[in-house]
Amino acid sequence: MSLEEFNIIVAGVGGQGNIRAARYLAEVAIKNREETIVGETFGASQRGGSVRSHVRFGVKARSPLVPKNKCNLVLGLEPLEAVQCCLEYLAPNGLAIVNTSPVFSTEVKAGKASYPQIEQLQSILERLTENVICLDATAIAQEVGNTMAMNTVILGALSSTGILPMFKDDLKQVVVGGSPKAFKSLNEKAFQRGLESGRVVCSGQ
Amino acid sequence: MATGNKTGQVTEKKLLLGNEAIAVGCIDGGVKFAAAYPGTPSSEILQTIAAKSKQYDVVTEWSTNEMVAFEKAMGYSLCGMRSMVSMKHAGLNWVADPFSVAYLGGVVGGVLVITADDPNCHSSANEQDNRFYGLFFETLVLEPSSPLEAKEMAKQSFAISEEIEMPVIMRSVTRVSHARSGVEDAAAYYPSLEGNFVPNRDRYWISSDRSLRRHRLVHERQALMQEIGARSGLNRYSNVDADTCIIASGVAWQYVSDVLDGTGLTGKVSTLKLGVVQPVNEDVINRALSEHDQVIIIEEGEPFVELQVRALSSKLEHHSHIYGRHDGAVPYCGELTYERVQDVLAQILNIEDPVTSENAELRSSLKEELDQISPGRGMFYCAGCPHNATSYVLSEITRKMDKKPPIAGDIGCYVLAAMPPYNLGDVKYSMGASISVASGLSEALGRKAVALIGDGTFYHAGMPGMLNASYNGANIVVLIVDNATTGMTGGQPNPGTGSRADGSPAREIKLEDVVSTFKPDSLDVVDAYDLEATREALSKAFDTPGVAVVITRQRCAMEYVRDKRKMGEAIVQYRVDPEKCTACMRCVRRFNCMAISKEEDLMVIDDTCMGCGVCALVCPSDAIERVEGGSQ
Repeated sequence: MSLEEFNIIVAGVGGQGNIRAARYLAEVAIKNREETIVGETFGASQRGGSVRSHVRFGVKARSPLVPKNKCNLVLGLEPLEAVQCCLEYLAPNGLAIVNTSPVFSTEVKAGKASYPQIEQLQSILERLTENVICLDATAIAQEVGNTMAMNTVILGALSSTGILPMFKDDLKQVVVGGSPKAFKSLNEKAFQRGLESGRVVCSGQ
Repeated sequence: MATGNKTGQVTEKKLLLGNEAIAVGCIDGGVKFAAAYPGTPSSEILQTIAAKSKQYDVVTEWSTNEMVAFEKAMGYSLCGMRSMVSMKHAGLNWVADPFSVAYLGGVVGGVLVITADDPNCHSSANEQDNRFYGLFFETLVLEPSSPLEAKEMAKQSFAISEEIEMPVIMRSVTRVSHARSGVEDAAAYYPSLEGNFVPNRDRYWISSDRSLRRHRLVHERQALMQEIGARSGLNRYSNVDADTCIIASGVAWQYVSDVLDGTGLTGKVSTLKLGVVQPVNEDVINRALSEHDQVIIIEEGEPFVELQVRALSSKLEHHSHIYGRHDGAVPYCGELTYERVQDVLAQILNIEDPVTSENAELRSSLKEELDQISPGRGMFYCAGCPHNATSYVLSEITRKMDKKPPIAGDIGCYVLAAMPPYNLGDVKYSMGASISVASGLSEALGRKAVALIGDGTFYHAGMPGMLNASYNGANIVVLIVDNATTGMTGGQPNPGTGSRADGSPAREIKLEDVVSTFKPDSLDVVDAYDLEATREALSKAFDTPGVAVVITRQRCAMEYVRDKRKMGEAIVQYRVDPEKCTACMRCVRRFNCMAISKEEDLMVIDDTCMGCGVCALVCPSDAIERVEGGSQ
């Protein structure tokens, strides 16, 4: 049952629950007795910078950062971050699950720069890979009750893809089980909504 | 995976941070005193031990600085108790002074000094390679390659330290300390010891004649360290009868292993994994050199292992070719990555990983397209940060001056004053440098200079400079931004916060009391959110010759929000009145808050607002108002 090598990057900005999401993925792997290593890259994440969590499984995954072009799965919590990450790391047939709701940087908020159209970002991504699932996870989380649950929605969408059996079987339990008491019910709903939305893809398939 | 440990308990593997694994290893190795100063990427080590301090009877503390932490640890050690001190790489510069003499007398209870280095300076002002301190002070240096190995080395280090009678240095890096993997979260329990001090002036009272004698002794101990390196099991030599041997230490070993797999070279080149990097084991190095035509040295940081290998090779008759940084094979500066290591092997062995060059052209053209339309993502103060308010006022006041005062900054969140729109800050070095540098600037220029320093930094390193300014004279404004925490590193307590590492209450040593002791020419304490009061105090300080101190005080916004959320209390927020807002954008152009953005033709405040109200004071149209109720 041991994986040889499977690589995931969770890409977003600070404050989106990136590291928590990565931890849940890693915990599922540990539960399934897979060798696991998680590495992080961040640019002052607490204060609005980029965050990437590299999650690697398998006996051939020892160094803490995913090698370029070898990422099997990118979870994009933020669209611009997702596309930048995919261009650098996504394997040619890799899967990208992307939240389409942007987080504006201070430059954009101050009117000094503009954020690209989501359609432009999608177009770039779709020329890189056919396997893209886009969803407005922030809006879904808002409907469920709290935008902070956006990362859970994305994890639900991941679960629907069946890309790894253990994500189908164990991810929900780890996410809900690991949630603080006050957020358990919220996360359960968010995960379920993500699961349902993941089945409706925005590109091909 | 369940295994048994010493106490017979069955334990599962948990996803642990490298630093958490190190903490568990220290406890499992019998540590009884742990001290540190917060510093990325080391802070979680002490935090984890502190959280377990009652369960395992370990005394833990956030010392006022790393030097103090080490000195106190020596006190414990001389009474027979195992102690640990952890720090970021810069901290070892502070420890170096007492270490430089203490190591001669040596330890009784084992002492482990953990330095978490920062190659690529993700969170530091430099990327110094602290393994050199082990060479400088002739002591053993361990270098783990993974969270699991870090735990095992930490555990073993105390016994090693006692055997060599010297402090042991363990050198971690960001990619080990901040990586997570499956590790058993279990440690044996060692009951509290009663300290016992056996006088031994020959060892502990280091006078110059004793020092020479001890220095000779320490040097003779290198043979024992060689032997320990050999029997520790921490070095692994795998000779596959090839032309090439790769020598790697620490996390570099993981990159090498992955690249060998990716290029199909596993089993086709020999490898030597070093866990003890000072002194490197001469026997195994000599064998690697004699048994191969070429040796490639891959290590994180400077050519530390490489220098030793080259020195050893000069004693040998057979000379294999050594590739490393010295001959330009491995790049200097910046951290290693899979790609960098792959490039090195590609150049030397003429082989590559086919995957990394797949569809390179497509990626490159798409990247170009994306770059054209991507805005930057710079960092800035959190919404509500009191330092933001202070920076705004400082910027406002200095902008109006003919000759702007040079500003010496320090280490903390307030370095963000250097970001637009304030662009404040001329010189920044290390902890506490702001006050003394400003003193020098002010005298050389014959006019006011500013020192910008935080409460945590002041307690750590600001006092000597402050005392000197008062005693030797200086013409400075010392602006101490006090958010009642050591913020940049995640919010640890300090002498001003009234609490300690293990959560117990502590004497509150107020900044203004400390500062008054140094007899400044003026001292004012104001609410950081009160822009008018800050303006008044700062203007007065600029007009006061000598040492003029202003303390701006308000709680760290992140901690405030964290507490509110924990207690389930609503956070009062502010909103923009669309009728009054003229979109002059002063709130993001002159001031700047991350919670405010422009939507269509109006400014909007989002949910990250924590209600500091500073934007309302900044707005010239009185268009921002407080909202009762607020979000969760």
